Amino acid sequence: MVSLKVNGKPYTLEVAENETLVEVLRYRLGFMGVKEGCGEGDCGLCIVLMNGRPVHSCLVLAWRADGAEIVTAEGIGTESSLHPVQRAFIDEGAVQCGFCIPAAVLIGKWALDKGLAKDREKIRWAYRGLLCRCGSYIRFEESVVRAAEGE
Amino acid sequence: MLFGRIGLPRFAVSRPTSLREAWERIASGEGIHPIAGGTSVIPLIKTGLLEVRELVDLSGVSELRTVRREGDGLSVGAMVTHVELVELAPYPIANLLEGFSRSHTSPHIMNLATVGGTVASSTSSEDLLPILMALDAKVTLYEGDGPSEVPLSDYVARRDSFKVALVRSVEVRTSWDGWKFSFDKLSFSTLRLPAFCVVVGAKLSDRKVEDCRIAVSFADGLRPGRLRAVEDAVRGRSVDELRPSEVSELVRGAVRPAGDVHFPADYRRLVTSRVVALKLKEVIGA
Amino acid sequence: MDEETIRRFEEILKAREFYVVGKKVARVDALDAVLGRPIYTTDLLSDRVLYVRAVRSPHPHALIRSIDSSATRAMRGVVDVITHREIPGVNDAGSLTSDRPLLAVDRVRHYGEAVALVVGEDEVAVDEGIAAFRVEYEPLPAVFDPVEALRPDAPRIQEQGNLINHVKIRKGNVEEGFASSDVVIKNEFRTPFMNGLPMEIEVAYAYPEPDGTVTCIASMQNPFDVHNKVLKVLGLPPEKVRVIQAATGGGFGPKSDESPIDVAAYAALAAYRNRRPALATFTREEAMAVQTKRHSFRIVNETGATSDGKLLAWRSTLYLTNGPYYSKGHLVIQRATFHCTGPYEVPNVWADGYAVLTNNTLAGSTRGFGAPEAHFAAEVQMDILAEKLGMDPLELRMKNVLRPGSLTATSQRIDDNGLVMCVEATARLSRWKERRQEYERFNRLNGRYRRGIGIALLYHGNTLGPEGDDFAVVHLSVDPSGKVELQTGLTEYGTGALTSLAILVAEALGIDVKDVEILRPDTRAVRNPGPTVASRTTVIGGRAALDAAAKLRAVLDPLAAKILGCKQEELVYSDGRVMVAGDPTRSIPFRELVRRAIETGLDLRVEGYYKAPDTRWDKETGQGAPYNQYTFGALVSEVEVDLLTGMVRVLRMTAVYDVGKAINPLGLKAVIEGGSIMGMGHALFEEFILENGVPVTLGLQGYSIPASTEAPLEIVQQVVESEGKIGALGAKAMGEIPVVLPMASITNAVAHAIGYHIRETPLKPSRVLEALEELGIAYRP
Repeated sequence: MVSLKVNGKPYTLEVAENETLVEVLRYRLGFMGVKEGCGEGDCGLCIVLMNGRPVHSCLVLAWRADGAEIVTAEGIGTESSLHPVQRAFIDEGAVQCGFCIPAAVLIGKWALDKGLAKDREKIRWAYRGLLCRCGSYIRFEESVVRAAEGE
Repeated sequence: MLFGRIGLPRFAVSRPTSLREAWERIASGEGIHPIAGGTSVIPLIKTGLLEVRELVDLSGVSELRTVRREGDGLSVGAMVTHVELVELAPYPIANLLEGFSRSHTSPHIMNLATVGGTVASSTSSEDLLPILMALDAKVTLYEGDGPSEVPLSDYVARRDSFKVALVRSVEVRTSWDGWKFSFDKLSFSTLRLPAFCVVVGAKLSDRKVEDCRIAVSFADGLRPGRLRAVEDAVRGRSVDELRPSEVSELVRGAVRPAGDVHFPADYRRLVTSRVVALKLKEVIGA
Repeated sequence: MDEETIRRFEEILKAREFYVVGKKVARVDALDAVLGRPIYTTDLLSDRVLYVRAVRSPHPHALIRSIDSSATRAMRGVVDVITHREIPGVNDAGSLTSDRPLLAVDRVRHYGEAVALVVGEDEVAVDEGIAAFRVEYEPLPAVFDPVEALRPDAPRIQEQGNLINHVKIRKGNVEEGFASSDVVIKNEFRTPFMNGLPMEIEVAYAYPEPDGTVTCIASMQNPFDVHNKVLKVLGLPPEKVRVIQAATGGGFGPKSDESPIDVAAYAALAAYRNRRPALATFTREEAMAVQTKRHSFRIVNETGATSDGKLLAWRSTLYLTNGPYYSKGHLVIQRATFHCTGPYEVPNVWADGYAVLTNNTLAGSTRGFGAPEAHFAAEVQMDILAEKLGMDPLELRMKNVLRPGSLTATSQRIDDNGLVMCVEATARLSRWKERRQEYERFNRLNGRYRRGIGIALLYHGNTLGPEGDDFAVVHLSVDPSGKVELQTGLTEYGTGALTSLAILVAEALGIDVKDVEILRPDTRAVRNPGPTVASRTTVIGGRAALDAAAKLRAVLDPLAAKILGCKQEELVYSDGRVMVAGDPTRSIPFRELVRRAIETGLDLRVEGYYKAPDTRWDKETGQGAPYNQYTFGALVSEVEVDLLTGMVRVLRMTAVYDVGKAINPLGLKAVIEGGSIMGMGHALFEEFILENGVPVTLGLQGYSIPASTEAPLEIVQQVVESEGKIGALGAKAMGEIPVVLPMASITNAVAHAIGYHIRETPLKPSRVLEALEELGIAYRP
């Protein structure tokens, strides 16, 4: 039995010993924004914020998330009220195939909140561990800078 | 398993609350494996390289999260994460860890990966290991009859003989007055095995190398290690007559790195030796 | 609507100041992505599903002696086992040619070939079922080298032999050309297999409908290729199989070939046989092993020129290493061979391109389709020639570039100035001369690092050309609120091309792009528009979209003219209104016109169609016009080489592409940056290696692609517009283009830095260091 908060809302559910956090978030709780790409912590598509820190949710067994506060891309903005990073991603043309975007907006938000946006090298560092085959890395960087300027 | 698993297999989970309980589970039979941060264990299970029937969850053993500062010693519990270590480490360890963090192939892994998991894996993908080795780290193990301490480089070098010992904590010396350290690493994208990773430290007196530390990620196969033979040859030498080419030659003779498609063994050996020579030159101010 | 009317309509469209074309328009589907909306295949599962995975061969070439599925069938949770015997229809899963079984019959021809399917209640059951499956193999002699595979005594991989295409170019007289040359150079170039590596792994979700239809939602580029093979495998008529493309996380070529057909067929079979929804997918390692790769190439170029740099003769021999099944290899060699000289006028050309079957990994479509490999060989050759002649690399190229009046290697006349515009713009933007001198000065300091600047040029035949019928179909309908629904079997998977179609439709109807809604590709709702490949969506699909818009106009114009009391030729659609030219007070909102049209019973559903002229060339001489138009481009790369580690860092790339007409500038920006970074990965690190047919580089720890910190610090870009003959509003193909030049451009930049042109990619640290050691410039502390 685990109790966790996702995007501010509490959930309590039975989880199997071998269920990963990404599986629970997607298939048990319906947060399809969290993607699966390798199951081994190599691609970063499954990154969520867990207790404020970006983690690869494919490496977290669900029962380890008991008591945790999780934030996914679905939780940082809405269509009528986009998070500045989400707005910037659209304006900067950062979305190509879209598959890495939920993880990318979360990392962008995290970098912004951590005060990394003033240093482009630090923004790129924050994006390490997330693979984008479409090659939108420079777009991500520009988006975070733009979101910071907007503040 | 030809291409790994679509999903994780079923396994039991035990949840000990004490060191003794944890060790007893791990030592009780085949297929029972501890899980710390999960960053090594989960990928190994997913790719089918590790078969487990029971995982021993270490997150309930509070002793493993203890951090103790005593004089010039820092004791870090095995379940302390990499990012926590970076945040709490004092100078000069902090500087080395800053290099570790900055060059990390996947920085957010640091939020899950643990010091104990790193030590237990004892492999070249763990940049922390040469850092800790260069800082004279010791590992405190727990083996049923109580804790025992062993130098980290010995633990890693003889890893196979420590099969069921549980890593309790890592002890590091924090006072390194007069020492200068340098960390260097090269990798590509998300590859966990770098081209090389090197930590070099030296203390001078009277323009002589009073003492030094040289630790590399690929000392022998896929095992990091301290290059004591090279340290011995460098110790006591005059800064002005110690040639980088000699250091490089010494290192080349002292390491037997594993090779792979990205970085062949000869390449690793050659580059490790030159980087060590360069870093040593830098820390001795030559 | 007749050709003439459409042509006039397009002329009018081109002539005016654009409302949306060329303006900064956000991707129509970007909102879904940033909000994490559930639009990809696995996001749409509504039920508990059956899982399907394949049992795969650990041998690159073997007979199947026996199969024992008894342990698997007995396992808890295993619901079904499917071998070739259980296939109800035809065991055919080739993406173009019917040479490849879905499930092996008596023989496997590559590592990882599928032998049987295990269907289970959950992932664990399927994984355990696969592990318990027993196959007895008898290994056969295998062949991995293309030259060896051409020998008469080589193992025959398919009955008809291992050579699947031999492309020839015979232009002029090369022997005379070489004889007249002052300088002749000959070099061999090699590029390895590479992974396209879309981030979304192949996946298909199939479920049976009450009426016996099997519906399949999947990640793919070509819904109709998948549809054709799934109905063939199931033995069902076309109306009994429905394929819908879900949002697709990357295509890059592999998703237009065999692997999406496989997962769709696996899921469909499981759903059909067990009357339950089923999901088929791969692990990452599996996906990287079985999806079609970029072919490994070996290219020998021999080039002769005068002492002042005029190209006289060029001979190319190209070996494309194919997998054991055709896929698209016989077409890739065509494109590579046609482009083997690079974008230059050479009076005498002799080329032989061979595509050869081997027991290596499956290979097929990958972004560029032979062009990156051919340009690597041609452009590094040109650079070596420049060095031999003591000429600036840019100067040598300018002497020979294709310009209006030039003839290509196939003797096709070039009529547009795009390449010259690109070269001139790149030279200026990259500060070529200045930076070249700056880096030479820097290098004379003899430090640990050296810097260099290099250039490469391309031409790229649009679009399918010899690769198939180049047509497209786009459907439009308007709902009572005035919203235009666009539906096509052409697909979006990251190129932004469907946004371009929306832009074109919006422009033609004078409405906001936001009022064009794009529906999902659904084989039940659209006609086959041909494959979404070859960067043809904007170019060819765009023409079909404009045709559809013209047809819609043809329905609305008479009513509008009647309402506004004017002639149809006086109507202007702009700003959401329909007005009389020169008298904007006489106007009606588009929405209102639509409402009235529907009221009067007009049918506002149209089907737009366009087919590019067939291209022709002589098969024996390769002479003719194999493509309808060419995209041109230039890429300058600036690198820093670490003489200690051999690591190459790309500091800056300057890219100028002739896009014909920039329909969607924001989309172009992302594609150019992204493709440059992907190409950089090809240049510096990417290689899919097999040892005796067994992949050594499996998974993301085996094969790595650029991460954020590998991206160049800066990618400067500019587009020039030299209108293409056939593309929508003059647009030229762009989707693949940015990945064509980085291998050559970066290799040339490294050569400028270290004084040697490496002839094999990737330029990974160990390879570069080896060169540095031989040159005597490796850094020793």
